[in-house]
Amino acid sequence: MSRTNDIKNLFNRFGASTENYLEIESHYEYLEEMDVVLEGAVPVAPSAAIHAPHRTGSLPPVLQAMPTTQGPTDTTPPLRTLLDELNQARQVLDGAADKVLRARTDAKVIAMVSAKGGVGKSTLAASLTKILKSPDGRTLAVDLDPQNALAFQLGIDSLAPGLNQASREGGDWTPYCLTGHAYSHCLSFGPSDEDSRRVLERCMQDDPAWLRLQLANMNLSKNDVVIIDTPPGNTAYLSQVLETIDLALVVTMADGASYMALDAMQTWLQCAELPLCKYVINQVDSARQFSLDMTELLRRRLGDDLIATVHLDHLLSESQAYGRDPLEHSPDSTGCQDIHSFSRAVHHLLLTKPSIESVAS
Amino acid sequence: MTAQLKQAPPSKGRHQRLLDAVRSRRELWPRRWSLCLEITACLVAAFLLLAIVTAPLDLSHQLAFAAVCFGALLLIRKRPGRLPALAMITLSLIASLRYMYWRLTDTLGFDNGFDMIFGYGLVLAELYALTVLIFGYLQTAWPLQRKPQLIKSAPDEWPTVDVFIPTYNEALSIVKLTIFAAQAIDWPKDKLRVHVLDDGRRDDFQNFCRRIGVNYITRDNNQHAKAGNLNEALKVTDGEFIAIFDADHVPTRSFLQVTLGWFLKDANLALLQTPHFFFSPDPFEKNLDTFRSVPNEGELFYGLVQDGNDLWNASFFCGSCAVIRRTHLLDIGGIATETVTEDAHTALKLSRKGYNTAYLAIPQAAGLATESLSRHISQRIRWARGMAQIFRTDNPLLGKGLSLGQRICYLNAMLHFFYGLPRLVFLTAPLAYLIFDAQIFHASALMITAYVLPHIFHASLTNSTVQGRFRHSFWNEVYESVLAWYIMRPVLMALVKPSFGGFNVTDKGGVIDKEYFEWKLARPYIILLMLNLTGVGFGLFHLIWGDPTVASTVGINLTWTLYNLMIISAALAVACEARQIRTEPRVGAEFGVRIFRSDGSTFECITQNFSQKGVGLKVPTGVQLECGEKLHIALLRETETTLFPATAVFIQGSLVGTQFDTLTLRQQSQLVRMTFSRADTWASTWGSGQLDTPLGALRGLGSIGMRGIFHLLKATARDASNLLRSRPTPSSPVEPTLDKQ
Repeated sequence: MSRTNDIKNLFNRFGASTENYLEIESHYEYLEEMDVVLEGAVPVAPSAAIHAPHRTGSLPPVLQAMPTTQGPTDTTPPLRTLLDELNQARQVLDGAADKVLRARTDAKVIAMVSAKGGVGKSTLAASLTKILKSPDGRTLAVDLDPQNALAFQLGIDSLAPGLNQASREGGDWTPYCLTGHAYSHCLSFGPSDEDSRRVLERCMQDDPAWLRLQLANMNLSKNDVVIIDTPPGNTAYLSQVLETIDLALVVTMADGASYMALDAMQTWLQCAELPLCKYVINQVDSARQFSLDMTELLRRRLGDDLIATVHLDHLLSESQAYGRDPLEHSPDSTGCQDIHSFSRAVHHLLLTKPSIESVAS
Repeated sequence: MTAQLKQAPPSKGRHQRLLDAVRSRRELWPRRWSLCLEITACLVAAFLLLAIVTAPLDLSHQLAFAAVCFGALLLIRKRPGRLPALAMITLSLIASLRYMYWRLTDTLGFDNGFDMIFGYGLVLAELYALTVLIFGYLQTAWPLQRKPQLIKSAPDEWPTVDVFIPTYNEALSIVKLTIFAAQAIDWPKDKLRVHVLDDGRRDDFQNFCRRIGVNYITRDNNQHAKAGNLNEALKVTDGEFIAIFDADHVPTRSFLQVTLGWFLKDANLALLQTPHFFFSPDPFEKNLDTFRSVPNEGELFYGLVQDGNDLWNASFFCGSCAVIRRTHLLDIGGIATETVTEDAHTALKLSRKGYNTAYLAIPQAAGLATESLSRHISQRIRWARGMAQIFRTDNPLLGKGLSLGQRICYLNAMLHFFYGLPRLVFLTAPLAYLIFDAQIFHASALMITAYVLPHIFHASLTNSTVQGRFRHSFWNEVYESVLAWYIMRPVLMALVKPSFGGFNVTDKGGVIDKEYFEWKLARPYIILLMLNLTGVGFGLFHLIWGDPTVASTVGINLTWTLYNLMIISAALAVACEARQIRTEPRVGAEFGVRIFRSDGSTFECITQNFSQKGVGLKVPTGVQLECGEKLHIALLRETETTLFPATAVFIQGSLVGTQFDTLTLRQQSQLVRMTFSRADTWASTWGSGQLDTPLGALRGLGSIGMRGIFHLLKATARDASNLLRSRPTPSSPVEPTLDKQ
């Protein structure tokens, strides 16, 4: 007996048709106890435990204390090499192009990053774009992932030209920003082939400040927020992003593979001298004990840096498949509610703390 | 009456069709003709009735007349429709009025003052009963059976509605349900304002209201209790309509769309009341174990009386589950504060101003019944007192603005609560003869039989037919007997001095962890029981060793006493408070759920019942759950599902009881939307109880009476030492105004 039948049952009793009945499911904002606690618990200054800048690349004490993983010992050495290279590259830049580096956008810039693919970065980025609004400001999503998935998530034609096309023409990105669901603004990656991607990546390798300058050229105001979606792993895209952002949001899932991959991610981030780096666990399946256990492990490991957990909600992916905005279509589903609290946490971090600005500049 | 509507299409008898045809043809006539016809018909009918009632007949003729009438009754009793019902009412009126005429003219020759006092006392009680019977027939002869008027206009033209939830001392856990459900009503968000009116001024309420975004209104005094609370809120709100729900009355999501249509159609309509429906058993149902099998005390009122009132444009306001038009309410100065039954008085004032009131017999809200007998009694005392106050201060027979029908409906509602003294008279009357040999009834036994039996049989059978779905035979006596002693004094006091204060009755709310006997409340009935037993002893003595010429008179009185004994012992059974383990009553309902187990497997099944705290499931064979197992329960609906974390707490075969873990506000709201605020849950159980059969009801009451005596003996043995010291636990007084509506 489905729920909508209750009206039909009732109306059958007095021989009326349900035609004139209007189902209005008003949506109310509730202030959950959890949120109250969360807001209070977010530290004002970045916590020192994990992402305090460790230039030497040694594992932070928390990680060393974790007995569970063997992975890091295998993966760490090559990573370190990579990272050392990255560091060297930066030191070169520090000296060489100091002035160029100063040019940066006024807007707040957030990047969604992950070590592993398929963790729901694009979904969260799209959702965040729709929800996160600062007063008098716009929120712009920038898809830096050649998969070009963000446009679809925001209800924009994925064949529309994006930054791939814009950059090739060497021009401004602004005209390529399109409006999607919930009046969000999005600069998609745009359709690409092997060649055009290679050109773009070359461009990035040549100019570590490429993204930063592009964004600065967009003349965004300090009330605007830019959310950048990135491809998984340590790529040229990630390096560009890490140069530019105010806040890195690491998306992970509550499973073994993600847990392992987290080590690598943390190492990359340590080198980037980020002002702020926070974590979000996606697709927690509360019907499965294992998923809950993994969530608990992650929670212990990340401490206060974990700002949100988003539960597995098939409605999200289904809505997407139908091209609907899940936040509008099924706002009461667990997933959507979680996303809302996630967004509130981000909002709190980025837009209500004046201290961030000073750190960011 | 939805119950009758359910048999779609309603089975109409030949007589009903005839009646309908006559009515529809009459509507085509010119107004003057039909008026003439009406007056002539009334005069002829009145003359005939007078002739029949006063015709002097000797014993054999009276017996023959009674037999013919009774035969006619049996013939038409089973026929459906309103014409047979009207015919039965007519026959019953003839029998009863004939009896009363004979009674007043032939049986009052008393020998001495002693006989006279008892004799006139009994006659007065009988006159009262007859008046209530006749008014009752008038009230219920033609239930209007109003149907909902659906709203045709677009939502942006719908009016704004303030939902008032007055509360004083109810727990947040209960009121929460009402608040969430009020938010979930299908009405445009910007036109639905939910206000919690907290006379308790509690912090947890304020905090809760803030977090879920409903208005929280308090005032700095508690004057005029609920009425004052509502009036204060009227001042700070401005919606065009006001929907009022008691703190424990949970509205369904369809409430406003089902009720508001009539207001849009009739601009003069000031009030629309819907039934009070209870999803937990009241003390009668709980202690007698008759929940959903025997209609409860309120069902007659909401099933039939209010529907009948509606015909006369005299539907009452019952304090909750109603919609009121603000302008009209303000026109009479807000909710009435002069009496302790502000609701009925408000409706009376609206009627006096010429506004219309309506009743819609579709339960669109449900609540918790009073938990214990003492609370139940204290609530009824308040009603009785308030009605007596209105009777004295704003008598519906007097004053301007009311039609005759309205006057009679209001008057009967008030008279109804005066049953205390007459009921006690009936319960003791035969003792006057059996014990004191008082000749209070001057007639031969045979004459009494020839007049009384038609009166009683006709009244019982007619009421059984008219009310069968909402009141079973003889139960009226039980309900009245339990309350008679307690409401007698407040009613008499209020009649003498309307402003006189209330009577305190012990309070014992919440969980009843162990069965106990309400010694203090039962005391009047124990005394009545003893008296009647003594009467039976005397009667048997007279029968065996006494004068054989009066054996038949003794027999009549003895039968009456035995009937009284059955009623009294049933009333005693009510005083034995049954155990009540659950604080949250479960509501039987079947809907589909999907269960996610922690090992990753899932299955689907059907619920058996639900409560605020959990659901009962019937799991498919082959699924073995463990007690304490963590689950996720998805309540399924057409477009989406919502997951609720839960724990299996009770397993018996395929039945599994689950309890929800801590739910977020969002989840709690979702849960209410998917359970309590379903549109059809309450309507589907409304009036669908067993039909009355007088013999079946007699059998049932007999066995309940036996149980009552058994409980009394058991409790006597158990509490022997406490018997003289009233109840075993100390009692705390409660203000009568604190009880639930």
